[in-house]
Amino acid sequence: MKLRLIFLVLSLLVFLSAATGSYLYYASLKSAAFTEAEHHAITRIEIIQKNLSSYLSENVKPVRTLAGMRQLIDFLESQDSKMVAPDPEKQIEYQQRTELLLDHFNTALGSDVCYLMDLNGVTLASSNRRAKDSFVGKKFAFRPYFQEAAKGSPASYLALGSTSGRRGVYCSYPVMTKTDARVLGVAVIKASLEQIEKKLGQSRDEIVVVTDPHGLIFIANRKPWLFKLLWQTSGIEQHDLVRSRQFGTGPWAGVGLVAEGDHYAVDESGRKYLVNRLEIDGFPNWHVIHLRSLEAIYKVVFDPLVRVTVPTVVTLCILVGLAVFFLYRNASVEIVQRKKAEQALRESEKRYRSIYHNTPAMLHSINAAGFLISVSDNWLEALGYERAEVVGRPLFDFLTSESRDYAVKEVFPDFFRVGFCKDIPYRLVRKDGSIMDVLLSAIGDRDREGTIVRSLAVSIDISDRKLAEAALKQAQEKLNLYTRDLERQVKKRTVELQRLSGSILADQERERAAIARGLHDELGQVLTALRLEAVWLEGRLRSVDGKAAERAAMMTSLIDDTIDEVRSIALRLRPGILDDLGLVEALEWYTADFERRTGIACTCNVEGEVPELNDRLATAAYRISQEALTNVARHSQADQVKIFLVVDATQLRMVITDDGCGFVADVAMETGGLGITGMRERAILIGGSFEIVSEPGRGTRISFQVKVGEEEGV
Amino acid sequence: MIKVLLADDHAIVRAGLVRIVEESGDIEVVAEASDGREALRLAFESPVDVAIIDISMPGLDGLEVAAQLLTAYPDLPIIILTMHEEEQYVIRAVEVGVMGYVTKRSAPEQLLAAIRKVYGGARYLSDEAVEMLALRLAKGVSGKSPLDSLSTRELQVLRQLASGQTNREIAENYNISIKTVDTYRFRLLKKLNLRNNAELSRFAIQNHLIEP
Repeated sequence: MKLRLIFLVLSLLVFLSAATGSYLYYASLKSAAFTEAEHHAITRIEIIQKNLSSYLSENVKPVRTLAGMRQLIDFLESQDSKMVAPDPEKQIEYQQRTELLLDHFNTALGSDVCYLMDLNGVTLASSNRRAKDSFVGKKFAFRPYFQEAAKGSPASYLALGSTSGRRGVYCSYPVMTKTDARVLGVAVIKASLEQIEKKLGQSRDEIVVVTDPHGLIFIANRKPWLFKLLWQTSGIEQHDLVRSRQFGTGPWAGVGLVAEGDHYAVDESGRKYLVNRLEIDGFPNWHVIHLRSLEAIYKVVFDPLVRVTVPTVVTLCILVGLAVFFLYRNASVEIVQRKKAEQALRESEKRYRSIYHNTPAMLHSINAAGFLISVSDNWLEALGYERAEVVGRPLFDFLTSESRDYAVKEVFPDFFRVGFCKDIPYRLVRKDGSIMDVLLSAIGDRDREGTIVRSLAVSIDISDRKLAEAALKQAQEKLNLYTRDLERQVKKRTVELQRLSGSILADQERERAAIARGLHDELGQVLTALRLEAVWLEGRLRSVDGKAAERAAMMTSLIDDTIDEVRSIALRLRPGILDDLGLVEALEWYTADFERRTGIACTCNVEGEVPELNDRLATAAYRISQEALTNVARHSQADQVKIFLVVDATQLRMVITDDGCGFVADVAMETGGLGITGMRERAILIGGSFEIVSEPGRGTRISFQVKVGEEEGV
Repeated sequence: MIKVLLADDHAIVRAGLVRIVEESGDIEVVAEASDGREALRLAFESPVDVAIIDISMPGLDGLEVAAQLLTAYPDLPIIILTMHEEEQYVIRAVEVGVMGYVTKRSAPEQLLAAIRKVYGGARYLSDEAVEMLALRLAKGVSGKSPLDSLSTRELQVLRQLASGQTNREIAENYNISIKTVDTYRFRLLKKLNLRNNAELSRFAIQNHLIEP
């Protein structure tokens, strides 16, 4: 509404200023035009006055010439009875000559009439002697021009002809004798005023009049005004006029013009005129008066102004109107939009407030000074305060002293620097004095300069969690205790088991060795002895009893087979080479035997001088290689196997590789297949390490490593 | 008469052996020992021409006895007579310095010949033992050589091929199939980066596996 009012006022102001501007423009134009009109009027009246003056004095010189002509003087002298006797013939001749001269002058000058008067004022001769209105013989002694000339001075006079009834300018000059300059008569030339009147023009807006000293209009460019009084005059003046018979007999009416100051006048119809007057040269108190209609002057100004300004102003007004309309419309639309936006904002704010308070979380905001500026319902509920008790107070008031220190020293400086914080462990104090453990996370609102002005923080009650954590920790500690105990027991048992396992293995080896030796040496020796006997028997019997000899040979063969069998069993149990000759020889034998049995090429490379190895170590190495080669023969489909035995002063390293199909090492190791467990067990029992690397298609590599010398103690 | 010392811890076997020796006519057992120490003592008391010693004996084993005897009598021909038939024993025995090696099983057939041979100053070894010795010698001479990558059987086959034996003959010698021999041959050529049997022969000669 306000905006509409502003627009209305604005548009009014625009109109007002446009109007004022137009008016000022108009006024200035008007005053300029008026000044110009005044100048124009003055110029015009000066021209008219000059024209009139020259026209009225046009016949001054010709009349002097005429007065000086011989014929006139002769004629007048002839008439003068006092001088000589009149000679009628001569008189007539002189009269005719004078009349011819007058005719000549009248024609040459184009004047109205030329005539000659005697000293009595009687017209003696005239150029219009034959015309109807001839005034020859009439007496005009009352005329001032005659009276002046009769006294010897030339004169000019304006008057209405008493005979002709026509206005004219009379120029008179005394006719004087040559000898004594005595005035004989007066020569007069009368010129018509019609011509000059035509030159004044017929404009309705411009009135030019010539007035006599009484204000009577003698010449005018407006016929009705002729012989009327321009101004109202007194009776005395009227009387003077009548008496002078200059303008007939009267009476003379006024034109109804009333003067307003020196320069203005108003006529009967209320029309106002600009008035200028100027005296005519040679005619004292005769004035040329110029009246210019103000209306016309204004019209001169106003017409073009209307012609130019009105469309401009109208266009301008329309444009302004349109502009105002569109601006107003846009403004209205904008106002509506803004109102909508405000509405939306209000709703959003309402929604935000609702969310803020209804979210089941502890929310609060602090300002840059650390004072609470808002808290959610949930916050109040959780801590047991009323809103009025909280808002406006520092957050510190609701923290325990440790938390306060923590906040002052670390959290606040950090937060106001980076603009957020996460999972800050605070301890809040409830109204009832109890403590609540929370994790606080907050983000900062920054102003335009980037300074944090307020925060939005959410706190999560972790009291339960803390309790649970404490319980969990306790449980964990207990569990750790149990675990450690269990581990200890397991370790103990493992050691026991290993010892047991070791001793079982050792016993097993010992027994195997004993059995093998028993088989090989005892049984073998007996069989050998038997064989000796059988061979001996065969030799003895061959010459005596062929059949018996054959039986002996069969016995020998049977004994041979048995020996083979016994040897084979003994070797499988434990090869005597291992005890008699050592690990290297045993491996050499075993690989050769392996190759013989399986057809898989098997090489045994030994690097370094192999020292006397103790029995347990040699046995372990031998059994591991045996197990490995057994796996190769059974599963690998390998073409060749290589055993590398590298020995130096400190350690023994045995590597067995094959080019077979390989296997997934992890699976085999987890399931304990392929005798891997056994190999590892043997390695560990003597304090060595065992590693198996295999991949399907990439063969298998088994490494066994043990320190030499140190294993003694194991 | 060739005087012989017989050391064996097994009485029955010893008796049988004595009988074999006694029956020869030209050889007599002058001393019988049942363990290593006794054998040494007897040998030092009265010198013998040939000592026949078992490996597996209580106390000092036969190889140790042989070594000590040879220290005292470097020229004494010693025959190892044992139950062990593995080549490794033979090689160890030869390394110690004995002249003969006879298994108890083959004693009735070979012992007398062996005694006579070593008494005559020659060695007496089984064919297999001789071959093993040769291979071991070849490896030992060449040091780090391509031979290291060859297995025992491969070395055997190489040697036989190089000396001009056919696949069939080799198969019969080692009691394996002809196809297996061919596999060995192929593997040899690949491992030694050779092309044919002629190159195999040249390689064997260069590496002292066979005499040219």
